[in-house]
Amino acid sequence: MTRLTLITGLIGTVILAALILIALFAQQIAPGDPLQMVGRPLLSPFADPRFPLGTTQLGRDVWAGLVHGARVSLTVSATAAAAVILIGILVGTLSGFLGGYVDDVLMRITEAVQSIPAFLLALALVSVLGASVTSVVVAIALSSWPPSARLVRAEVLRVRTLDYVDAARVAGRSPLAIAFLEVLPGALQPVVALIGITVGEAILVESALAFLGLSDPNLQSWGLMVASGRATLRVAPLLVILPGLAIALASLSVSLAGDALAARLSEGRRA
Amino acid sequence: MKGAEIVPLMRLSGLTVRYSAHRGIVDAVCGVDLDLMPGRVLSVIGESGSGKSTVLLALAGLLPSRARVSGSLLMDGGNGNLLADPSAHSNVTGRTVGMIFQNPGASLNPVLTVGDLIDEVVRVHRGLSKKEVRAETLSLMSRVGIGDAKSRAAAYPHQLSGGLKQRIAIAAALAGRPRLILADEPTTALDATVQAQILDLLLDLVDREKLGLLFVTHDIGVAGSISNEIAVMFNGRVVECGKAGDVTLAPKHSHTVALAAGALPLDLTVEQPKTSISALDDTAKTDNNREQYLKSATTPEPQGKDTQVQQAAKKTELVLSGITRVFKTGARKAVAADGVNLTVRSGETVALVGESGSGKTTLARIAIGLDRPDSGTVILDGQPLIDERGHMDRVTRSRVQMVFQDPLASFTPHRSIGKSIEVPLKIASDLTSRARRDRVLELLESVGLEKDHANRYPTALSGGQLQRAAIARALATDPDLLICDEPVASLDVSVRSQVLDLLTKLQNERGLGILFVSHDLGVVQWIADRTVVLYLGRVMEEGQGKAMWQTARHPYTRSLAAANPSATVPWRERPSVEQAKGEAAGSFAIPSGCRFHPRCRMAIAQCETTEPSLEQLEKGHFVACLRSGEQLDLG
Repeated sequence: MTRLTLITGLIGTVILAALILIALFAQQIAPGDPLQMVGRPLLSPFADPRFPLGTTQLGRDVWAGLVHGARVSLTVSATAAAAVILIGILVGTLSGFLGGYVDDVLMRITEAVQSIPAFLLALALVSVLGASVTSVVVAIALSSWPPSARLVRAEVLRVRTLDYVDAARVAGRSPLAIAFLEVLPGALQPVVALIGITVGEAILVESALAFLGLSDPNLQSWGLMVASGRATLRVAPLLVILPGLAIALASLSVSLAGDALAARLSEGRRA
Repeated sequence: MKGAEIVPLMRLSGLTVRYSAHRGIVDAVCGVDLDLMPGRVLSVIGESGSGKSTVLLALAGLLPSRARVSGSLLMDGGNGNLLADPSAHSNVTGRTVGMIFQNPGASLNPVLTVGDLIDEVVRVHRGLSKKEVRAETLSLMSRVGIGDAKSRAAAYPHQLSGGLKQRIAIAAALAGRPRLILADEPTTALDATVQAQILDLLLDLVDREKLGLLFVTHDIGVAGSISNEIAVMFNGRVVECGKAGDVTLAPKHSHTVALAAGALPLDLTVEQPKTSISALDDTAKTDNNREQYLKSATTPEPQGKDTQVQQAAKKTELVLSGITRVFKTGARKAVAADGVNLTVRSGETVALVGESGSGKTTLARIAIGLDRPDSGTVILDGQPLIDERGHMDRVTRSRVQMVFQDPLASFTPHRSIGKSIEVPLKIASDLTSRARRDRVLELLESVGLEKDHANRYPTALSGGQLQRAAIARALATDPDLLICDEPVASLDVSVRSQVLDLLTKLQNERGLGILFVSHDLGVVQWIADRTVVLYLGRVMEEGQGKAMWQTARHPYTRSLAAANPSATVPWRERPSVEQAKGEAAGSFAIPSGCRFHPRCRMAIAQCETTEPSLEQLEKGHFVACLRSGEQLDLG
């Protein structure tokens, strides 16, 4: 691992940890409902010590919105990424290990999904399922799993030809046990690298959906804040810039931390 | 010595190569002196990590820039120290030094035809016109023994066999008219019969054109047989250097002794008692007189636990009959096995011998149920190894186990050694986890490893230790038969003999039957009770004991034996009539009649049409050759 990856990785990890802490203790940091009208509308930052970052055109506390938005963004994207990786692992392992018709069918489905732009598919799914956090998670998961499935499959194809897989067959392990206990762990390392990218993408997709008003309107999220700040962009640009920065910071920190982790893992493999 | 007045082609003195690593400075090579005279062969031998390749790279000026090099190198009568002057070095090496690498497939540019490839080297070194360049290329190709050079020149590297590719690499190395050839394990990746041809070619060039050849190898047999001088390297130093005969016959340094002892030369002359071959490991020297054991195999003396005695008394028999296996890739069919019969019984070691593509690994995999034959049966004590539905029951599974070629690849990387050994126990037995762990420790002890090794991960063990652990794992279920696929091929010579000793010792204790796949005739001769010689998926000859190689009748078997270099027999003095011609056709295009006939020096017209069957000549000796009856006086 180069010095640069180490430093950027550390920065990413620190930012990510801070965001997670903020999300966990949102209620303690900024008590109350962030959607509540608490002050005069369009207060500029630092004007009132109660609202360090000012208020929106509806008199909502911007700081509270950012804090609570972290909770929504991170939960939605982490759950969605977990689902993406799980689907990817399941499809990729079965496809790569069993081969033959199973592989053909699963890969054609994967390609079919991949041929539709992920965001359009998520958009369509949410408009069918209704605007809620759950449907956003489902939409992201169902639209973004193909890359991880293909990656896992490629790794499984490589690993399954190694001697230790034959050794497990000789020992009498069942095919399913071989696939998930022997082959899969050996194929997981690049998947870990993919987690960072997946979470980062999920944050963006979630924000975009919220921006388009397709997320739960009763939860304050960054995308929603950008959307509602758009109306007063000329008067109070910070209402758009601040949540936008939060989105950028979150997805950047996840990718930086993910890259460093991947580099670390590949070093461990060589040693 | 007559070479004293002649200027050496190359004089290397005090070469030291250092790398700075995480834990300080590492001396890869330390104070190495080498001299090479024209028309002579100098071999540098050593095990992996001994620094032999680093020396070669230093000579060629190919070391990475972070290496710190000191010492002096004079070449071709020049006075300048080339190690101190990289630009002069690359100038000189380009002109007077040709290099040959281990893997000809990787060292040839795949997008150029071999003709263009040699053209390019010729053009760089010699100011010739386009027409002259191609003429020179063709003459180079015929100099390295490529017949029909004109049509071969239009071929791409992947269209050529391994031996031809190496010949092309040699032709390219000769293009600059070098006086000195640096060769890095140039025959290691080749089959034995092809290796023999390449060695012939190199020695011929040395003799005819008075080139100097620096030959880096791990194989003391090759080195002893082709060299004038040998330098033995160990831990970055030359520990012994001298005339080839002195080094191989009367080694002085203990490491050379170990290398020579571990090399297991194929012995075609004298009967010698079979004792421990390990020169380094004292613990392995106990009770492994296998011949004595075999004589008493019917009434084994009580040794160890009662169960073991019972097992030795119980005769297990694995019978493969009429095995045919064809791999299809697209429209092409590769025949890996064609009607092979093979039997392995408890207490005996059956060796499967053959060059790459002979189908020996496929047979081993079929014998343990990892692969299924297209036709033919595999019967273990009267029961099919695999039932009609393709399943193998738990008990059968536990009776036949396997040791793989690459020990590191055969262990799951994310699991500790102990846990890996536990896996077959978990599946085949109903032991509690405590009892399983005790059994693992017991197994580790029986293969000469420590308890502590159970907690380590595969990458933390050396190759030899890992192969011991692999044997422990194979023994976990107390099998009757062990399938060993080239179990020592990836190990260093000194470790190799320890592992072979261990296998024999365990066989004696437990009455194991072993199917031993190998291409190394010396190893096979040492370990095998019966030897089966395969060629392109068919049995050519089957014989008993170590005498098998002296009494071999099949021309292919004899060519294998003749191709096996022995450290004590100079290469030029070998009988060349025994050598096989050309290279195996490959399993995609099996020749008609006797499949060996295109390469056979004894082939007659009938061989092209009639496929010989395996016939018994004397007890236990089978040969598939139409002329087997008339060969006694030959050789």
